[in-house]
Amino acid sequence: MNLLRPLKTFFKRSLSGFVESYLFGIETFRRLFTFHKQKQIGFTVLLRQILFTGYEALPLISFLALSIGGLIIIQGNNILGNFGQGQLVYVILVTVVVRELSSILTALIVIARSGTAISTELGNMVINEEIDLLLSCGISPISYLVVSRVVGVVVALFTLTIFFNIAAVFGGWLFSTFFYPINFNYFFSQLFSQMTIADILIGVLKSIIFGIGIALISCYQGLKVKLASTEVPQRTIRAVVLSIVFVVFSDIVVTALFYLL
Amino acid sequence: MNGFLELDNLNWQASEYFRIFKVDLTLDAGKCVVISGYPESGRSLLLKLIAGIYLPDSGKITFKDKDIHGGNEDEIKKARSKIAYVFEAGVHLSNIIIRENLLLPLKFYYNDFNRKETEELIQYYIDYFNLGNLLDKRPAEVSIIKRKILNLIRALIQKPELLLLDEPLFNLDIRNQKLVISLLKKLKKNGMSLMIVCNSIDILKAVGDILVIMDNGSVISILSREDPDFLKEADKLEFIDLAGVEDEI
Repeated sequence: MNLLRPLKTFFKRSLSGFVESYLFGIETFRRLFTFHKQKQIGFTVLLRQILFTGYEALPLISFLALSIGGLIIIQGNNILGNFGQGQLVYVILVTVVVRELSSILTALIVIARSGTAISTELGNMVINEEIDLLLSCGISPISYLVVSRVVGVVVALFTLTIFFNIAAVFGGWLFSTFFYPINFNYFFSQLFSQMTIADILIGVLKSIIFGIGIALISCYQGLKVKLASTEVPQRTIRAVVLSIVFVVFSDIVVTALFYLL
Repeated sequence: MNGFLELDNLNWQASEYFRIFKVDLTLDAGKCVVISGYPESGRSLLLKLIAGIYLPDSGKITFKDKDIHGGNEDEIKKARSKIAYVFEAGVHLSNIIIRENLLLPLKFYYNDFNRKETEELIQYYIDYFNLGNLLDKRPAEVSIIKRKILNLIRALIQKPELLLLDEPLFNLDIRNQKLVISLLKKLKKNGMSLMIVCNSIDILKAVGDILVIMDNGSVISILSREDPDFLKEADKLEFIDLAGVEDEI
């Protein structure tokens, strides 16, 4: 009987944690529709989030996208060229970068930069009674802090994913000109002949799902801090781990649904 | 129910010692309640429940016949706009400048408040406390005393009908303590209702109409100024914070 007790406690805690996070998500979506009522205070938070998550991540995203696009072209040409299948490199670029890598790599960068920042900031706000301050002013922390961050991260991630695609494709052409000179128009006409609207839509859809998940998880973990500053890094680590799990899992689900439907 | 503020069988519990238990209390408009007791007696907690920081487990808080935790959001917002809370510590949002911190509640409650008039009011209080030029600084750049006073200013520019103050003299030097007491007297004279958590006999004598003493989350005694024991009980307050220290001295 005593051996079962820890197991029971674990399931009880997991269940209550799941219910709590589910209700947190529902409340955030409910508040999303009344965000305009608090735009006079929440809009600045939203703009700052877009600036931090989107604009300030551009150099890193550019570097990564250009490099990956270039590496795929170099490796693809190197391997496929030996079999006389050089044109397949465009299929690989579209499949790997546009459908998969752009959204997942951008999401990982957003987790590393913004997910950790959101969780840490909100955790410290709890410790410093700043959340209590908002409540005492009648301001819902979910409206003011969470909704603006969710919208900000989604907008930023969506934009970064599109930017990643463009930069990776451009990087692919740029690198290919160094090693296997290709005409600009020929490169892009070959690439676009392999690309469909569905390829772009699936990447965009993923970025929206990832953005919502990352922001919600990071905000929830930050606001779960209760008493001590030592909880802040613990919650941040949990936010990172859960966000990565969420991104990978939802990526598999969306990709599977795309091929099944 | 016809009081200005009514607490009806209020209960809230986080642990055995961190709780509010069956609290009934009434505050009439323009009056001042001083809530006293030993630390962790639940007095600050009670104030936080009225301020809306915590939600009661059961019971009701009625402000001007409106349940401040019930009804639709716009009604709650309207009722809450007339209540302001001053923290024991000078709490501000650390990532925005002091000017924006002070304007935060007004921006939330009113879409079109008179910014010029509000800035003048802010300047009046800044001059009153002689705080100097600090509106464009971050909260971390100013002293604890100033942060505490700015907390009070943020509450006052909201022009509340009910002002909740948690240990308003805590962390303040003698000069600022006197200025705060003098300001509280003025506010009360102008008809503002006050609910103050403190053990300060100076505050009680200056503005207190009702003395509420709490212990272990419950109200154990309520005395009005007309009560013959009022000042006798008030005199005891001075020693609450010193309890146990005298022997060591």
